[in-house]
Amino acid sequence: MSRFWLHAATGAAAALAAFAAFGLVSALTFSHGDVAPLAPALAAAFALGFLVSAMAPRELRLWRAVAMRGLAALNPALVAAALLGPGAVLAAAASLIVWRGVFALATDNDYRATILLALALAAAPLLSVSALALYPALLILALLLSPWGLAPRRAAGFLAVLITPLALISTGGLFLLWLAGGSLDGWALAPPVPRAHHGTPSFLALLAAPGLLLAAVGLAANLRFWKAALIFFASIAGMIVLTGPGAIALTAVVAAGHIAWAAPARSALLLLTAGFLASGALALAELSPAFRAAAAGLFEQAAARIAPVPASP
Amino acid sequence: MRLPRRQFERALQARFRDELVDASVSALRRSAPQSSAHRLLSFPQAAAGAFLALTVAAFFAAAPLALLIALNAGATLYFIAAIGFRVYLTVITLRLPPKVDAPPPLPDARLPTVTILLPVHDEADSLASLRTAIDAIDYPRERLDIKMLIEQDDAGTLAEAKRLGLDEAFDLILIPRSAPQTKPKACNHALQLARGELIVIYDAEDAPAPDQLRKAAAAFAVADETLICMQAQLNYYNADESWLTRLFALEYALWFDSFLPALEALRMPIPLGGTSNIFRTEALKKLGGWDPYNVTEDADLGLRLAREGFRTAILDSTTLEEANCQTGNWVRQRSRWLKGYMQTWLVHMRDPAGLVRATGWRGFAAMQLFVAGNVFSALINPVLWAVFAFWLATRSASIASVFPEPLLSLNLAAFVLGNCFFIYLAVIAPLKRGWPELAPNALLAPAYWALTSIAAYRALWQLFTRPFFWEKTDHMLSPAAQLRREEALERLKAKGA
Repeated sequence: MSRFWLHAATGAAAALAAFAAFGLVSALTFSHGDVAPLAPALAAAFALGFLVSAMAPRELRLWRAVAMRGLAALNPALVAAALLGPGAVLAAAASLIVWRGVFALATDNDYRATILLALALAAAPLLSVSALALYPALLILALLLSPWGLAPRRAAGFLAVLITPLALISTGGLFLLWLAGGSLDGWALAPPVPRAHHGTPSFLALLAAPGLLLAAVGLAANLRFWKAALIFFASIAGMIVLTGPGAIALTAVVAAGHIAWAAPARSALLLLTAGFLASGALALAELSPAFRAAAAGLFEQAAARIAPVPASP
Repeated sequence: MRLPRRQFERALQARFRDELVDASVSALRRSAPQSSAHRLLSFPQAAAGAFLALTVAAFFAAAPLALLIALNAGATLYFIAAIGFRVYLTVITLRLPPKVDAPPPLPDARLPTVTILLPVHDEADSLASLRTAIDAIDYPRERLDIKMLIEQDDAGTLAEAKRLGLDEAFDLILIPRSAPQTKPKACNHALQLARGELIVIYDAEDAPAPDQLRKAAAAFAVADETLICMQAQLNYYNADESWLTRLFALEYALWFDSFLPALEALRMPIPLGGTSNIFRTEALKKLGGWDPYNVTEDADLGLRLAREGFRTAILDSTTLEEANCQTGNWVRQRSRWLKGYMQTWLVHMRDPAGLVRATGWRGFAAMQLFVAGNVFSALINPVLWAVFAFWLATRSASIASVFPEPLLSLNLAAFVLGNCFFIYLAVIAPLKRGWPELAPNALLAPAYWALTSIAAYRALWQLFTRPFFWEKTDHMLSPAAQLRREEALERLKAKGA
């Protein structure tokens, strides 16, 4: 079986399994009277399936492909995401794509892209504290890197490169704050991930800041990153047609497929950037009261269509 | 009667011994006295220094607080500029394409003759590894002119060289005893005897990449005549041995893989490393060779050739060395380097206007921020840390009065951002080499800086007490180096050497 068909078959199987699982979750939530938006669930399922496919290394043997998919399925982040709901699954899926990109960078020794990613990750919380959630995710990645062939010490070093900027900025900032006599109470714990519609984490906000910064730094550093800008506009156009979750799912699918089948790490990062930018734009829009009101109205209409509230006696 | 070449050369050396010694010691001093570190300070420098000291003393007597605030502001602005310059260099390096297409290799028939200088002093234990490393060089033997330079009174090294048959494999040149007893003086001696079109120096513990000379020859063949030096990258074969060697390796990675390529791209003067620099021999001779009075003659030469309008390029080839793994030995080595940087700065600042004319404002700024910055930051760091720690512990108003706003904000920003930035530079330094496992050690960089500061004060002391003293670095202290020696001895034994 060629590598392409191996990926395609296992990816499709994973997508179907994920779709079934989330369909079941959705059905269960319907049966309990709660309303879950079906479209994001579908998008999440497909994104997850292709993502799982994407997580396999490029040079793959069958037993290893199966092991990788097993690892991905057992990933605590995914399990947690599944428990949190479809929106969170999309967020986790996008995060895992970040991880895959990170892993590709680690194995390719693409030091420039690694530095850009680290800087983007460090600056992200300045725009959205939700991005702090990416750091525990990176730590979980350490567990995944070694089975993929990166020696544990090497994996730890690589992650240190990614995490150090935020650690330094945080330490320096807190130190200055302390010197200035400011209170550290608010900094003792990172603020919780903001919850948006129906209690799911705002994955859009989660992804917004790294994308924007990554693209900004990337554009400054390498002309090839201009491609990201083109894809960004395409994503915006797609988002208008497909709406936010659909566009993100599409980006996730494209990125995952690209990473899995063809792309070197840098190209994969371009696609990630595009996805992030799209989600970032949506997140910015999400912050506007008008958008929120419109989104709330849409959700209420959808809920009324799917499960009409019985008239009170 | 045909006389073997070596025998003839030895006879020549014996006949012209005094002339060779004189030229190796005094050629540069005579031809370009302003470029020699023979004198520590020129008269205008001494006068300016005295005037500055008197002015500071007068201000200190009249308005001590204002003076301290002014010094504080000056140091802070300098720090910010030095940090900014390194940020600039880092960005430039990140913008460079990862791999530059190498020029096509030259066929053997077109390869130039290369003189390899191997200056050794009290290095008997290193010779076996050195022989193996030189044997491993992929270059036609008949186009190599290998000269091992041994001080005349270094009986131990000479005996070991003969025991290993190096007097057969290489030209052994005995350097007559004369002051100053430095590596550049020995190299100048050999430069006059060099037969190669190119000339390269390797230290006793070096292991150059086998194709290094071929790469350099190919690069020189396609370069214009202004390119007269190629500096190979340096790093360590025992990088992962202790915290000190890891940090040393991070520093070298930063220096040779990040900063120097950026300086090259910007056409700014490049302070050379002490080994693995390959020159066009004739151009080097015209420059007057190395300054025997400068204990970082390499850095000085890099700046000198830039002043003459020549260029240095960084060669994409690495020479591995033994990283200093003992703290005392490391401090001694570093103190020599920093003393040499001080000498170099003083020499090139004898004529600041000439420096600006020769290298432009950018070259001049690079000199101040890069060469002087290394020394100045090492000297001033402990003072600033001590003041800061004292203020933190006591919150003394007397200290606080030296830090009025907005100087305080500027100072704190430079302190926090500067330290964070330098730590992160060390974190990312090993990535380019594919050594991410060394990255976490960068968090220990402040301890490394403390050692650098100790070395800087030792260097400052020696600059005035023993300016030409060559603080010898002991080698073969690392278990990895000893293992290499044992392997080399085995190999030589197997070859019947």
